[in-house]
Amino acid sequence: MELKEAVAKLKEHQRLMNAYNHAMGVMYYDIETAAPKNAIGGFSDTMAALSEITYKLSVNEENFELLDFLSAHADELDEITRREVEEAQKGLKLMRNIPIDEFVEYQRVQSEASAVWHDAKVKSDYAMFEPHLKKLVEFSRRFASYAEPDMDPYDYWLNEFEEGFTQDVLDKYFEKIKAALVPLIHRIGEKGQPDDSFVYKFYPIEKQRELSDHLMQVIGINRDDCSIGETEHPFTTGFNKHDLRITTHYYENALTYSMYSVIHEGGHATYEMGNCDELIGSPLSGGASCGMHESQSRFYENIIGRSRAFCDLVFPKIREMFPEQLEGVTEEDFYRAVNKAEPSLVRTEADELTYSLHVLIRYEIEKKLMHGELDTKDLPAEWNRLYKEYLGVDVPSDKEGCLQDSHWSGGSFGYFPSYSLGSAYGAQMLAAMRKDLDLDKLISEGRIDEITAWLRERIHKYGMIKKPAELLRISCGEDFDPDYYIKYLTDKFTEIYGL
Amino acid sequence: MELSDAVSEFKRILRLKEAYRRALCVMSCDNMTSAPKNSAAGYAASSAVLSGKSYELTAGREFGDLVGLLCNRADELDEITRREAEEQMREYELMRRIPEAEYVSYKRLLGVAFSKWQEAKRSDDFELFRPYLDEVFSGARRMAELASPGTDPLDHWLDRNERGTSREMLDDFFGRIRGELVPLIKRISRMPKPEAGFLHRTYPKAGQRAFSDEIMQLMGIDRDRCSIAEVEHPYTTFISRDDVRITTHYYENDVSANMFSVLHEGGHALYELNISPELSGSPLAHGASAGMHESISRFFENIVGRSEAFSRLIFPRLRARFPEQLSGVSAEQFHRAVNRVEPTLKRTQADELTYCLHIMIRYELEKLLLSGRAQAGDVPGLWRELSLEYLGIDVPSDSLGCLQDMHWGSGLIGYFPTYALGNAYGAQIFAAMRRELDTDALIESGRIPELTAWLAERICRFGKLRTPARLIESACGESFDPGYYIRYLTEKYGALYGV
Repeated sequence: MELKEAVAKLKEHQRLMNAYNHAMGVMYYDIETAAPKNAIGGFSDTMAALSEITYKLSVNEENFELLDFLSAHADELDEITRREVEEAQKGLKLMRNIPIDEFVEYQRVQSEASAVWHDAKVKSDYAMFEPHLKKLVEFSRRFASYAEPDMDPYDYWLNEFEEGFTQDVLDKYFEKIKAALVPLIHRIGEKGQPDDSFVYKFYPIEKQRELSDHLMQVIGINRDDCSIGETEHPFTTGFNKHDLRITTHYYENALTYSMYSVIHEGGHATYEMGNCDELIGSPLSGGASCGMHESQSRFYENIIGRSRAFCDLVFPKIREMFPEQLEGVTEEDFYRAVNKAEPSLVRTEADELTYSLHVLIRYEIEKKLMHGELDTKDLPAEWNRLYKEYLGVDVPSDKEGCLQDSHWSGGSFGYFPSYSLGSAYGAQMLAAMRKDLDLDKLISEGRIDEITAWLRERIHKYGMIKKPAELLRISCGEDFDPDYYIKYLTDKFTEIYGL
Repeated sequence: MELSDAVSEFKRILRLKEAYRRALCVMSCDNMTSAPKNSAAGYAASSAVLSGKSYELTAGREFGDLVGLLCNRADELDEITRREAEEQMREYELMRRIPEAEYVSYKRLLGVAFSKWQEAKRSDDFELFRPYLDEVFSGARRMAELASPGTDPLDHWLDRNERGTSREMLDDFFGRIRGELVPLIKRISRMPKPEAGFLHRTYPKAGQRAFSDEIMQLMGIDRDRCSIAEVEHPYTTFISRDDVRITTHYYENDVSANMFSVLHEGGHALYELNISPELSGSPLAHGASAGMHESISRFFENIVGRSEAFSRLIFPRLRARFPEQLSGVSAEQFHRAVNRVEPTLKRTQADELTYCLHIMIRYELEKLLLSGRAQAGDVPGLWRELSLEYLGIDVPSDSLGCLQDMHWGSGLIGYFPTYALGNAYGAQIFAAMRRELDTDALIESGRIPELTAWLAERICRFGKLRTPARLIESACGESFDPGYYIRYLTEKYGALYGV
């Protein structure tokens, strides 16, 4: 085979895969945002049929030979093509080892579980979801053993989501977080909390939608490239740098929930919109890893969005939109309210400080599930026990407990730690960025696009061309170091609470 | 090959085809309702790949042989499989006669012609579209000659769009319309017009949205199976039996536009929602034809929606939502206003009575263009002449005249008559229904689902198992007779206007 011909074959394969993935992505977005409830049956069938096609397109001897041939000639390939081949090989490692029937069955179980989880959450009925979760756990353990029979199954998944971050790294990471943050949270608990009752007044959804539009404008999102929808659980999905979708959820009695969801998801979207043009249609478009994606969403949500400068920038407009609800509330009151650090029940509503403890709890549970040390039937009890131990809160219902997140219903185990790592990456990038930019000044003047430009140049433009560890070196000039994160949180909350 | 193997292979291909169709439908819906503007290029690329893949499934010799085998042993097949094979054979035979290169280049021409039409309409410059319109018609003639040699090209296209329809039948149909409706419209035009200004006060969208929900509820549409979204030009998409999407457009200064859009699109939805579950996933699980679909949508829009009984049912509800805008207006006045007869420039804004004249103009032009007796360059002039003759109105611009519809630019030749046939089918079906049901009493007491049940039993449930002609016969006990339509309009509007 000629190398040129092989590359052309690879690109044609990618073009087809891109079309199928695009269709499935749109269908997924549609089922979450627009489809009527009973569409789910037809949706599952269609997804199963399309998944089978893409599976067959990728998992066949001809494609393996093509990739092996290209891997053997990696030195002669341009950087993008070389990384495409590498990622394809990585992705196929699992697929090469799963029988198609199991894969198709998995897809079916997964979309069913996802639908049942929606219902179970509404009804706070864990028992109805449990058999589905049990199946998904079994699939995950089995798939891991297919791909890497000698590897610990949880390590396998952790490494899939965030290369290099397996249990030996994460055990230490979370120990460090626990040691630094639990006492800090305890000390804060002895201080008085700011009055944030104004956040929970009545904020009509129609007006909150306008606020979303305003915030997207402030963080510099081009609406011709990115739309916003409404779902139970906010997320971002994208089909190329000119077609991103973020979603939010409006609560009439919680102003900041949607607000920070929009900024968070907007951060994810900004990452992908910043991909270089060469990546359009390439499987390397998007973000380098879950953790890197999360670092960007949290950079916008917390580091920018919960800064004093940002509150000064946006609060006057918010007060203007809700004059009655926010009468007499100052920028500083707002800043204190959105940085209120207090143990809570729901991860997505957790404050910046206690957030990583929510992740720690999930990490410990996943570890046990993956090792068969925890039966899915006992999950609620274990969940509630850990919330009591680390956060000191009593979980009143599974809706606010172990049914709160969609991840497990989608078959994702090992994803949660990347949220916490993302925050840690972000804090390290912040320290590097401060050497080049006067961040507070830029934010207070509404020049967030200049911050985005810094990130785009060092992170966003690369998509998956560079791996997370490499991106940290490019943007920060050094390897991953969690101490930046601990210092960032300690400084910020020590100042706020006057410790 | 064993017959049972042939059947399962045939069903496998149809299932795949159905998956492509659903994915493409969802993508198209998403493109119209949720996607950001710049997603267009990516959407076009992906949908082209998927359409091509879907086309390949049934275009090859192998598939033709498979279907041939099934058709040869049709007696041994169940009814559904037999009809599926028949339909596929018909498509295959037609396509087989057209050389692929010619077909592809005609498709390409249509792509260009459509964008030229858009441009021409936007800039009101017919000359931009003229050469393409000539090419579309000569291409359509060529396709017809290849696919149906020895058949009048118009007959080919009429039959393609509405099985069993011919020039002979339509000439007779439109002849009667010309003879009986044109004079009626002339008489009505001399009568005083009912007051309709109250329909054009300011009706906020939020109230209209709630009203849409109420209409859908009155129609008995199961919202778990049918959603509603907002677009520029309303349409309905059928994804599966349990997943139908209707759309509407809200005009704050026209409360009836949305009301009749919801009734019309809701009618399309009810057709599909009532197809027999046995047909689920089959290509037969859709309305029998464009005309038959239109008959049901217009049944709900006009025959039900513009009836006196419905006005009495709906008006108090409408007034309860908009008490200020409708203070002092009676149900009787409302009924007259929504049945106001007034020739319009645009087909889509035409009233029930003059609608068919718009179709007649298009039909006459299609006859001339397809036979080569007129050229595209003659179209603007002929359009003006015919509009003046039939509708008595002057056409001020081509944008509002011969460029108003997208059909010709997208290759829909001989399609317009299906709209008129739909009206005529509906009137005949209504006459049959009235022999069994007291429709006025049912409508006025809000028992519209009983009308739907009648339609479901005689029309909807069969999907494409029966041809339109056969459905009319089985539903009405006689073959198609346009006299019902003429009588329905003459009696209704004669009474309303006292002529």
